[in-house]
Amino acid sequence: MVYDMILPIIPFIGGYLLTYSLYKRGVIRKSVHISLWNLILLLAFLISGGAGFILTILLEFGISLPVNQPFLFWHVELGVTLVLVTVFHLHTYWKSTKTMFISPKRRDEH
Amino acid sequence: MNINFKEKLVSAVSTIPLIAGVTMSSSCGVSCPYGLSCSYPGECRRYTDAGGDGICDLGQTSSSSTDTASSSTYDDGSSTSSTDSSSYDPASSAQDQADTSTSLVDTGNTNDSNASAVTDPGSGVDSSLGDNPNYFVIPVSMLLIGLYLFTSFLFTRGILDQQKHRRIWNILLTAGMAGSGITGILLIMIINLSIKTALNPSLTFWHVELSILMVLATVIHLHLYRKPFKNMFRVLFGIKNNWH
Repeated sequence: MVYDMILPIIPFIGGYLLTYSLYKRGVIRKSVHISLWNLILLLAFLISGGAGFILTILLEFGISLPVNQPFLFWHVELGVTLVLVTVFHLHTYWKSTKTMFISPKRRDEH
Repeated sequence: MNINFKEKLVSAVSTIPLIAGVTMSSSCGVSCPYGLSCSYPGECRRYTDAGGDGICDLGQTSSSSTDTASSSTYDDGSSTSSTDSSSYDPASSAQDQADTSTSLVDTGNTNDSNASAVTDPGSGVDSSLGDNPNYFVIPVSMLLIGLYLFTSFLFTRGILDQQKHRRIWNILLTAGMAGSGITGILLIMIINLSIKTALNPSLTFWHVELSILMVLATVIHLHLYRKPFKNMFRVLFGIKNNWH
């Protein structure tokens, strides 16, 4: 089985750039842009993470079902999207992300 | 009364990591973590060969107890060796083990099939699905849930402030996400390019373990940031916040 890498990446990069430019031009509010991508992140997580979790549970109990292969395929495809949208999420909350790695003392020094 | 009950509940739940740790260490010690039957030096650092048959004892224990399909592949003309392998008992005498090793060396076909099982550690996710490896889903999940209850307890007692509490779980989420994402992308590349390496089972194993961390840390993340999470639906769909 060969997994498609373009389908779960290109439309989402295009979509993010589009909503980001719309927000920057004042067409949509920042909260709409952020909430939209948070929802996409949630959906990607639910499908990819959910399918992965079900697959792991089936593996643990040694159960082999015909749905295993479609589950694995969508787990991988949505997993790629999840990684990409997580990068967008870190970009959206960049200030909070920086504080996660820099201690309050060092922040005060700067 | 209510506070007393809560304290008891929290102290009972905080023992979960200990139980999970004990369960995990015992299961690690008994069988091969990857569900393989390796020859020396093996895929991990736990190679042990008390029987002296050149195959890791941990893999033989797990394969003899769980994988009956692999023993049926032995049955290609040599019915004696098939019976030997299917009735393999780890507690059997040294004589039995010597017999098994002799049959592995002497019988050409049996040795070939065994060698392929030993040297082929799997070619990515597709083949590893049939190996039935142990991913410790329940112990790791219990460990993480116990850890969250412990940090929540420290937060409610005022030992840990909200910022630090969130920071700990954000770091764990980032670590899980980065680890799971990187190993996942590597696995896709390995599968798409049909690369067969000895690292494939290890990559799959760590991908699963880090994904468990990621999934649970995400659920905790949603719980920690539940107010902005509820706002998301209000902003997008105009749903009023009636959840308490």
